[in-house]
Amino acid sequence: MSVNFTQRWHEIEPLIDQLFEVPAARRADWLRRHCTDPTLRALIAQALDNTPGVDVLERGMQQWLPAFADSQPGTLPIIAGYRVHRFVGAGGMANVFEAERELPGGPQAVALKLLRLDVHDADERRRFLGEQRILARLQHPHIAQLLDAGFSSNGTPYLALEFIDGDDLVTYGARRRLETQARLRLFIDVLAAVDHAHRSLIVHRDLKPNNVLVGTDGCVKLVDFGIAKLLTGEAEPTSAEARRLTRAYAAPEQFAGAVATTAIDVYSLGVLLAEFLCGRPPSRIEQRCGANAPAFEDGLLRRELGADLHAIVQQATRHDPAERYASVAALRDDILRHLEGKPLQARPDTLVYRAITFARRHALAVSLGVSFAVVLAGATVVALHEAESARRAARQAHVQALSAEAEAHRADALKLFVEGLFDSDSSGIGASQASEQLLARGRKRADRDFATQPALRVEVLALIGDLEERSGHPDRAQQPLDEAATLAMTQFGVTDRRTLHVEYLIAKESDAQGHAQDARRRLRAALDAFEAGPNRNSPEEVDALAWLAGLDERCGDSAQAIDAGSKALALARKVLPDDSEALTEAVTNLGWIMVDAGHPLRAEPLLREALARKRRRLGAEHPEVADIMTMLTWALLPQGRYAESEQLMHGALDIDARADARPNSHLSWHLNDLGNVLALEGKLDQADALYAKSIAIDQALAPEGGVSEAVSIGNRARIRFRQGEYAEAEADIRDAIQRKQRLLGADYDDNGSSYDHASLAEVLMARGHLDEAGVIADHALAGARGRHHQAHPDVAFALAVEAKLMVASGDGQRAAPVAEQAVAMYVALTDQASDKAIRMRLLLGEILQSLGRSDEARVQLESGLAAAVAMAPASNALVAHAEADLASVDASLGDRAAAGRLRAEAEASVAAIRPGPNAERDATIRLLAAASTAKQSLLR
Amino acid sequence: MNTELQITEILGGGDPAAIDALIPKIYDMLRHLARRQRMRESAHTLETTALVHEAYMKLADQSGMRFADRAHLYAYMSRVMRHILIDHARRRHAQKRQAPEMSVDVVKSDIIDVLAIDEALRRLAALDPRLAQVAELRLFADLSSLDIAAVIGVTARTVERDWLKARTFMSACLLPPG
Repeated sequence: MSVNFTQRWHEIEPLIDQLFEVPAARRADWLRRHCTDPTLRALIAQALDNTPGVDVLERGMQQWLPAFADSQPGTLPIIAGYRVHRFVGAGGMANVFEAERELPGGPQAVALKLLRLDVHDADERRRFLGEQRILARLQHPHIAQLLDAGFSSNGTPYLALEFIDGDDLVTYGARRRLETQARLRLFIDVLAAVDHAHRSLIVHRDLKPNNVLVGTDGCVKLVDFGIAKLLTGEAEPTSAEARRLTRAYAAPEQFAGAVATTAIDVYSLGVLLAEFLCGRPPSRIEQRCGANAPAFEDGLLRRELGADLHAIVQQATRHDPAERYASVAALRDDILRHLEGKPLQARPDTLVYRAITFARRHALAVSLGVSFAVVLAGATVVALHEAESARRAARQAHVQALSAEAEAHRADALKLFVEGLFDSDSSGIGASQASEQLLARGRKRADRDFATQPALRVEVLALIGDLEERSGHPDRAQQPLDEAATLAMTQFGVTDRRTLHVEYLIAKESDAQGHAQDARRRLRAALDAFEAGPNRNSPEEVDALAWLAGLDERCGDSAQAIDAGSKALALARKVLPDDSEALTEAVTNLGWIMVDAGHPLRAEPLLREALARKRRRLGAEHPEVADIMTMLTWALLPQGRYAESEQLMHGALDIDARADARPNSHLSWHLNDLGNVLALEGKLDQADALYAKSIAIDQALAPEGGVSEAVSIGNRARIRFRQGEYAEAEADIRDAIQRKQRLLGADYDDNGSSYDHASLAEVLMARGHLDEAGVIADHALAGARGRHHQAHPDVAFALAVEAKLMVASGDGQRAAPVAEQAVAMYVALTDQASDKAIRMRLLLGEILQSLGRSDEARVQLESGLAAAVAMAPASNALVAHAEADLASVDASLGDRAAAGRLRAEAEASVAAIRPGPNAERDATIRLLAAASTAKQSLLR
Repeated sequence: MNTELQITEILGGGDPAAIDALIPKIYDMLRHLARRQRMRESAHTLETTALVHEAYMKLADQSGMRFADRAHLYAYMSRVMRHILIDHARRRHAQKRQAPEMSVDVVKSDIIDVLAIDEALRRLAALDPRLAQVAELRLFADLSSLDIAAVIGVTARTVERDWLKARTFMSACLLPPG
């Protein structure tokens, strides 16, 4: 259509008003006489003369019905990965189907919701998927988990939710004739679920009986969390229906189109509670009732509920959001008080009463969690807890009265602040751009709005710092975090949970900037100070201890790391709910530390637990599950369990592929780690190709080069080395070292500098540069020993390279004790099965053999061969190497039969090695050839 | 112009649960109508309109609503039907794209038009919500001017006038570009 038509509508409309009086046949004529502007006349005439268009408009609905009939055999939608069983029902928002999701572990029953939502273009699809990812992170025993979302074959967006078989809350209560106490206890679960969502800044917006279901097991489940927002992202007509349907439960400000805050859920919960308790639906469904009409007749409600519960409902459903309960947690607290026969917060309004209540309330500290999941992947809920000590409250009741009031404002202010950031994000700009703008805006607002409120300012600054750090800008995080820490120290003191939380954030930030040592010292000090105070064993301590453990490990102190990590985990199991994310993190953390400290056997059960927890919370297809699968291979590989690891990594990459995300750092990491598995299995070419893919993604993500790319380049160097391409290997390993030095500091001991240098020495030795190799190997060994006071794989590897160098310089006598020391170190780590431990035994065997100590050599080689064969699957090159070594020992011990048999086995193993360059295979062939020449010369 | 607010106002009354329960019935009704119409060939226009009305009345009676509510029911039904038809058209459109051997003409006549009309309605709603509402009731609920007049509380003549305006505007939207 010509844009002019809309622009000139104000001129066109009066003309049509007049045309209406003119019989249709004479309209063209009339127009010619009465409309002098030729452009205008042409516009109108064209529209009037558009016979096909006018006909279609006049025919209306019936013309579309035949086609409609053709396609309505009651078919079920077809969605890849699902078996749709039956149509369950239709609502204002969606058609609902019962379906099964096809998962590797067996089918999972889901409720499949096909939304009445138009998602036309790529931007809208992205927004939809982005929103659903946020919702998918929302996990709670009383929230029906959002499992998946996507688009059906014809583009209709769908959501897959946990399938709940049961009644809605009100029907359930009526059918079972539940007592009030039982109803309240059930309602506490509802509140816990909503409170949890609010801590993740997800507002339901549409709480009503239909969205609160009780399963046949009696367990409450809230459904459709946040889905209202999904549907009201833009002026979509269906969303109007969605809003209309919830009218009876909607807060007054929703009618005015106010920003959705947690206060609207508090309101809806109040209405729902009243309906649930008195079994009477809210009255505000009559047309005459507007936004200001009360949901219930007050006197009646008071008679039915009694004074206490009536007061609670009143407080929840106040017209002014500021007068309602400040949070769902506060509403829950009051119901709990009622159940326990304690005085309510809702009833008296005097300051004195509030002071007393507040003093008692400290144990049920209000907390606000903020999650920045909108823009940041991997964000976890950060809880900014605040609690004033009861002791201080009792002494300073008056001060506390004021702060009690301030507390409600505080929670509101923070919520509004963060939600303001969030809501402005839905405008559809790219995620990273959006996050930068948001944070810049946040900094400005922190300065402007909270300048005179230091306590709030601490929390906002901490929040901004944390978000900056997690969005990959630790440098920008530093300033707000430092300011927050200084303020927290003066405002709250060192024993306050908020102070510890800020210190934890600072440790993360400074760690991300490569200052692990500083971070560790400071966090240790903060924790010591905190633990001396009254708040020890708080949830904040879990995060701080867990992070400290990681820092300990990175700084080489495995014993302390394991100690702190175990403490964090024990505390988490004690003080956190079993489904808490922080608990899962603590498990994962200790698992990782165990791997790094060289204890794969202790790591494995932890990482398996972490995997099970993640799967339970996020579903088997979640990208975070893929991360833990990858970490689990770290514990399996040193046990020689290659096939299992490879399978896990393929599983992880399948999840990545299905997650439908653009290439990201996790994918690059997973590709690199599958490369590691394949390298150990001797599939060098395939490993090489995976490293190349991983590096390509890294380069696309960070053209200036990041640590991840440097790691893959280092790994590629190790492939080159094993392929016998030593010049390339040297170039790569030097490149990797330089990159890491540039990114992490010249002496990046906290990040495996000694291991890289030992690798470089090994390559240089292979190239014949023994002198330089010697200097670098000494440096690597000194570095490794300086960091690790206990047995550690990095020290053992550095010792191995030293021993090899001594052999290469013809000094087998000196090499033997060094190699023995390394073997002893693997024994101390109870690591007999890893590639490195086996190679170490072979090296020791070879050294002993060269010294004529064949009996001792045989012991080492037999043990190495047994471990190599036990690998699953065994690496043919490694087995051939061990067999050939053992064959020559047996030969020199005069056991010709055994030697001959082993040689034959070695030849068979060599033949089974995958084609392609392989230095170990070539060396083994040479060894076998030399042995057979020696044998022939003996025979001659 | 905030069309959502407008619709919220129109649809303000009525028992939510009752209306909720109506949606599948409307869906069924539409399907039923469509089948009947096809059986008798599509020429019987008047008959279809009568059938639609009969079905509305049945629905309205079943839901036990008073007249004021029926007005809302009409508005609501037209909106639901619009969406059902649009969804359906999209789906067909997608199928056509995947099956190029099917006649392009079919696509044009009954598929593109409903989408184009939807788009035209959106533009109209941005300009003048009342005109859009009249058009929606007429196009998607098959209501007469009298019925529409009762729904939105104006005279039938005003409805006729509004329809001419709406039709002209939408017809301009439906003109081929250029």
